[in-house]
Amino acid sequence: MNDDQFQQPQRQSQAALILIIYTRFKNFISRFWYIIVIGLITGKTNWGGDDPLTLFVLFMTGLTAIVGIISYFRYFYWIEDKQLVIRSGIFKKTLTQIPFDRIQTIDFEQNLIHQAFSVIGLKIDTAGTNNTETKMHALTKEKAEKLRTFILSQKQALETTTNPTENSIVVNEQSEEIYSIDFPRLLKIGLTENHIRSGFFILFGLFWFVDNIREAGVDVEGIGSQYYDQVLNSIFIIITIAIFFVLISMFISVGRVFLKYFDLKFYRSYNGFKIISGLFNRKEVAALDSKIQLLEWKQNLIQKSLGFHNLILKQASSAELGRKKSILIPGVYREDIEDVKDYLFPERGEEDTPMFKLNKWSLWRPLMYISFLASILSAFFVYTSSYYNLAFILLAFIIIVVRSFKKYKKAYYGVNNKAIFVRGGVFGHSKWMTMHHKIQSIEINQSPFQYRRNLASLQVHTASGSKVIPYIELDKAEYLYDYLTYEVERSDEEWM
Amino acid sequence: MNPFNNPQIEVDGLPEAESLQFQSLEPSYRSVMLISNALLFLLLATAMISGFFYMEKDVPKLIMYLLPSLYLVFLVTSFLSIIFGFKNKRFAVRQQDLNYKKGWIWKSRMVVPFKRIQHSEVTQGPIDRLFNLAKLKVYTAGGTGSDLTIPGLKQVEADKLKMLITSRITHKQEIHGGEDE
Repeated sequence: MNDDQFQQPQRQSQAALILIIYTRFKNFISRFWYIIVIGLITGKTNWGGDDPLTLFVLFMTGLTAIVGIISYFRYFYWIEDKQLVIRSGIFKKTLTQIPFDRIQTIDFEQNLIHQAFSVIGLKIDTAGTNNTETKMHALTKEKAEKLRTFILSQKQALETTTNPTENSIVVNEQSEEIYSIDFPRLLKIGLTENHIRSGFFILFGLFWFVDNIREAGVDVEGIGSQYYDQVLNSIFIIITIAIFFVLISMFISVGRVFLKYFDLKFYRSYNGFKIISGLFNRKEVAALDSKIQLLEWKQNLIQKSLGFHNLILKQASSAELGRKKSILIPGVYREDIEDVKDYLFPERGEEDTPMFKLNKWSLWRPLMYISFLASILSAFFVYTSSYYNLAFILLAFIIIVVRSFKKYKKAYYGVNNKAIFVRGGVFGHSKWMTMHHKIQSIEINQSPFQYRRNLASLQVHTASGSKVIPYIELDKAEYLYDYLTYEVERSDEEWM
Repeated sequence: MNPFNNPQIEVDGLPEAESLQFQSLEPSYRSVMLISNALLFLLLATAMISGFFYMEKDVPKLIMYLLPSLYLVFLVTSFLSIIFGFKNKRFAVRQQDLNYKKGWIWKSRMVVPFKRIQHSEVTQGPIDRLFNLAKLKVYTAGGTGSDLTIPGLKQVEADKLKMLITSRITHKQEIHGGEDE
């Protein structure tokens, strides 16, 4: 294969013009949308030619478009000397050079606009102390695929000549499908999502909205108080609102699942996983085995009844990229998780690993605090005879106690000569595992209480985040601390 | 070492971090901490008092009493934790790893294997410089939680330790073709 096609500096596909303007405009709207909404609500804006808000919106729209157009014409990319070079910038020119051997993955992205013009957006992930991400808005499908194949084959060649031990080749097309999500399954996934979380999103959104328009000078309380009394006086209205709220929450979580996980395909290639999903915005994410540091899988009560798990592949990440580096795959069955584990950690020996309970103080200690807090609050509410609040506190207390007992019953940990396994969960299950050689550093922490009772919390740091095994006996914690350190130090396996 | 070599190990034979001879920090580091803590609280006091003067009689009663008493509580606890916590700040270097423990009320202990260190640096604050002390900072890929800082080392000692770490991690860097900063 040759790179003749990419030798010369060249622009992206013309569709990128639209995509750049679209992205910039989207950013603009997401920053200033409430100003526009306020303009509409207060009715102070007549959207005429001399209205300041209209002028502002028109001006910003125009500016966004012009800046977008210029940045498109100023953007060049080419291949030079085994690296991808990108020159961009309007006032300040930036030259980005990405050596092939630094490239970890090249992901494709297609939203509706991409699909309409049959172009592809590229996301290039590079390794190093500072992980970084480079984006290309749009290349024609043919060019994108050629570029990717070319870079990856060159990278492979580079690696096999310079360093035969490390074979971090990116997931390719000849991958085997582990599982895919069909429509009924997608619907079930959506319905078994955590609706309470969606509900909180709505509430937060509402508060945020009210806050913003209040700041802008709208008399929210004034509008509210007109309806407040009527609403509170009618239980019927409250119930209606509650049902409506639940329905909206469900609708939102189902919608979110559809947008994100529509037609999800989960592939396995010999050294990594690839996930393609999305309704309007088809996204392709790759996770190399070597980059995956920790495996987490959990299910809530409803998901448990259907046998669904959320599987999370936690990859090594730097702080800047944050949570983007963990990949969540919903609706995974037990067998599929076992498959993934077999691919990733074939030597884990999970079956024969003895599992230990946490110390009983992990249950009683938090409960002591909670009871103390609850009794103070109850006493206060009895004193002020606000019985509604008292009932609320007692109810919350009972829920917390039940949760704590459930949680304690499920919490187990086990360590063998290869891996750490931790089980948890409240009504459902939540489990994680990692291999010893993925550990970066280990910590033992003791609160004054734990110190008195010879207990400790063991904290394990990996390149994809930290995990704590709380409240275990000090001698066990110390043994694990020494043992895991020993395993990390003697292991010759690369963690990434 | 042969990667397929997985000998059974005697539980009693494991190197124990507990029996390690931990080394205390330089005694003058206690003065560094006391001085910098005093400076911090001096700054806070100046801010608080000038705030009260600026607002004159508008200061609510609650804040008038609450803020200074909180200040006092923090002042006392922070000085106490420096004085009593100092002897608990200890470090140890083994063939394969760096160990650090600390804590007067909340105790913690950490180990970072040399193998997992990405890079290290020696830093020196202005007060450190007065006492000719330095801090050794060790970075891993595990994010801020797994990075380790050993303060209160003699400048020479810190540099020596850094050299030692660098020599231990060069092997790894050869494999990765060197990491940039």
